Amino acid sequence: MLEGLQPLLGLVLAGALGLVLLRQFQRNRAAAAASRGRLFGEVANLLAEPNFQAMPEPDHPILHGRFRGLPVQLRAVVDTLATRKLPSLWLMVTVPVPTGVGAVFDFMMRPASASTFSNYDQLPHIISAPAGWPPDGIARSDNPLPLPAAERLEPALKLLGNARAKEFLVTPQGVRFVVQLAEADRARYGVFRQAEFGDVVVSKPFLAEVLTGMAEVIDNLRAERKAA
Amino acid sequence: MTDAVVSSPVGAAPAQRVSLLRVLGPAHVWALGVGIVLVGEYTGWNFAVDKGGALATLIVCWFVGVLYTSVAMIDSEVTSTVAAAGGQYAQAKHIVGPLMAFNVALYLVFAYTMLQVSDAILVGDLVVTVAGTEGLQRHAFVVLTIVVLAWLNYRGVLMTLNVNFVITAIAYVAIVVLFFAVQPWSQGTVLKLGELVTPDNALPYGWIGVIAAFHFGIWFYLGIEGTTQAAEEVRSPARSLPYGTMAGMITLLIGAAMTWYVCASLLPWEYLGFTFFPLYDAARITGSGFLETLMFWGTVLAAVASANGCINDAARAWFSLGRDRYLPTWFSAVHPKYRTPYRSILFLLPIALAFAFIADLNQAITFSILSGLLGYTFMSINIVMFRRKWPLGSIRRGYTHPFHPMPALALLALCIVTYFAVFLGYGSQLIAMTIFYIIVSVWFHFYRYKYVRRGDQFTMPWPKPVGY
Amino acid sequence: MFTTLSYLSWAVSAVLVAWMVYDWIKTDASHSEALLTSSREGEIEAATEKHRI
Repeated sequence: MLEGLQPLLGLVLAGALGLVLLRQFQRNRAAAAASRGRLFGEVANLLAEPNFQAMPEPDHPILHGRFRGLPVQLRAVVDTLATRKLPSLWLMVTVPVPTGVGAVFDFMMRPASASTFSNYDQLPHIISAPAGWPPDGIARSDNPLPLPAAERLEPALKLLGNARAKEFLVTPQGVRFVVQLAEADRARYGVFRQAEFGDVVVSKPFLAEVLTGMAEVIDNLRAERKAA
Repeated sequence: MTDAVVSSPVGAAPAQRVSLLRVLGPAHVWALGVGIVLVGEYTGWNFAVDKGGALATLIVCWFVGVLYTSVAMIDSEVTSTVAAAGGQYAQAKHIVGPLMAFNVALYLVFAYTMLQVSDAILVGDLVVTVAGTEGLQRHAFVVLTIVVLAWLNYRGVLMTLNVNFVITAIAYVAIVVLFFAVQPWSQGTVLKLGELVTPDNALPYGWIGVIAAFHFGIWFYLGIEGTTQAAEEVRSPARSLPYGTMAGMITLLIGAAMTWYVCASLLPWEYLGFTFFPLYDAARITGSGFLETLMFWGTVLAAVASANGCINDAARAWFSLGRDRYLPTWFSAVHPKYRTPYRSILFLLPIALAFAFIADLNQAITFSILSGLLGYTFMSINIVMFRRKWPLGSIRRGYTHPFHPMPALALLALCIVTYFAVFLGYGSQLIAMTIFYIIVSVWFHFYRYKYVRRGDQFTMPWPKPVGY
Repeated sequence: MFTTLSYLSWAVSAVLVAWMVYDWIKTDASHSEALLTSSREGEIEAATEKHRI
């Protein structure tokens, strides 16, 4: 009789486990959504007219606003696509104003793995970065000739000094700075390839510095355009 | 410049302190040593007993384990120096060249696809055995395992699913529980090592049997380079990486020894040599229903965790090949909603299913081992080239492994012995695999290389290598 | 019982494979190849949709 009971016991256990997992899953989804909502909790008041653009799960909501009159977009992107690399949570700070530059200037730090959050890999030309820029970054462009003058982009150097800075992008449509907010927990990644970042909240003084730097770059580029 | 990017009281901590802790916390040690690899204790290693006997397996287990530290050390050095890029694929691009990188990525894809197939066969066969139903075939459950995990990866579900560690730790804890349950301190009560492994049958084929046993002994640890190679974006203080890796190795060594001891003491070596699930069978022999159920779930969990990691890694390697144009860029598509390499996942799915139908467990394991071996052979050659092109002091290395070139030579020796061991039993497979890689290399060289953007391959700020 | 489970397994597998293939075809049809193989987030776009919170 015990013989026949064992597969039944196994099934019951499996069912119980399934239920536990399901309930955990639901609870975690709610917790994760709440955590995503808190991401920009501290910085929302840094911007004028802050408003959130809801994104479908599991993406983070995009925060729009204005800083010194310039439109700003804050977007967090989860990147799990690099091979054998811990997933990263990238913060993309974008100021989408026409800059008047003739070509794209994309400076990527440590470009050894595929950058799926950026079109860096698609840019055809590698150009030499201006003197003084970090040596472990490589700059690319779609057209090496009409590039913005190096001095105009100088405020970006300070931003790239942060160990977690990843990309600085200048296109005719705007300027963007990408920084790593968090890296996935190694244990959870090792076992189940999970991208678990914990509770991440963007720091206000940090973002203020970033936005200030980007605003300066834009001012420089506009001044260059006026002078030209 | 404000260095603190995030202000979370929970997540942020001074970088120095956290990196060491992050690697050495118990959960992390377990994950580092286990992840994809623990399934090697639940199946596969015991085929070495068939090759050379129980004692041969133990010898090989320790030998291979100690030599795997060479893998860990070499890997730690290169991974800690090639920033922000994990894996031998990126390393090959920088240190050797595109053709080698292409091959290395293929080794990875096939080693992990075949490991995934082995995991699925294990689960299917275990379910069939437990069922005890006449005429039931394992294929349904094998296919279910592969397809469900592929679907979860396609949708990117597991990336956000927060599975409780307690559940996942069952796989390792189960082995420990079994070990203590059989009263290892008193031989004769449950364990009968003296009876089962006698001077007559300890090495039934003599010392050539020990060589032959290398074929499957490697299965205990295959895949550990996958867990150690998960690179971080910004290289943390490198001391922590080798400690964590060593901790993982020790975890596995202990697990392997316990597994061997329990299985060799409960199962006659002839049977041990061909069962698909030695630990489960050992638990069955004890007569305890609890142990049997525990081992059943331990096996299933280890196999599923391993298979999931395999699908994840193999698909991303294929995806990277597409991104770098080593393969048609069609494979580099990212799903707009789920953000997964969906085409790569779908492409590899029928390949896995095909092998799951055609191959038996020991064949699938052999294919996986062969591809893994090729990767290790590359690793040993790679580190020698790395040190020669960029000697110590010319570039900043996060970690420098000691006694170079001893670990590289030891690794190469291990690979050669294992190739020979595989040749002894599966010569045709070895030859078939060699021919396959030659053919794809030729294809790459003549048809694909022209698409590769040569200038893009090298992204490290290193000086020109010695000799250029 | 396990025989039933095996039939169920086949059914579930078939459904999941069909779902994936369907989703793949649908995704490929509704997005341009350039978009799928490049990064959408990588483009700088002015905000088109706003929800006030």
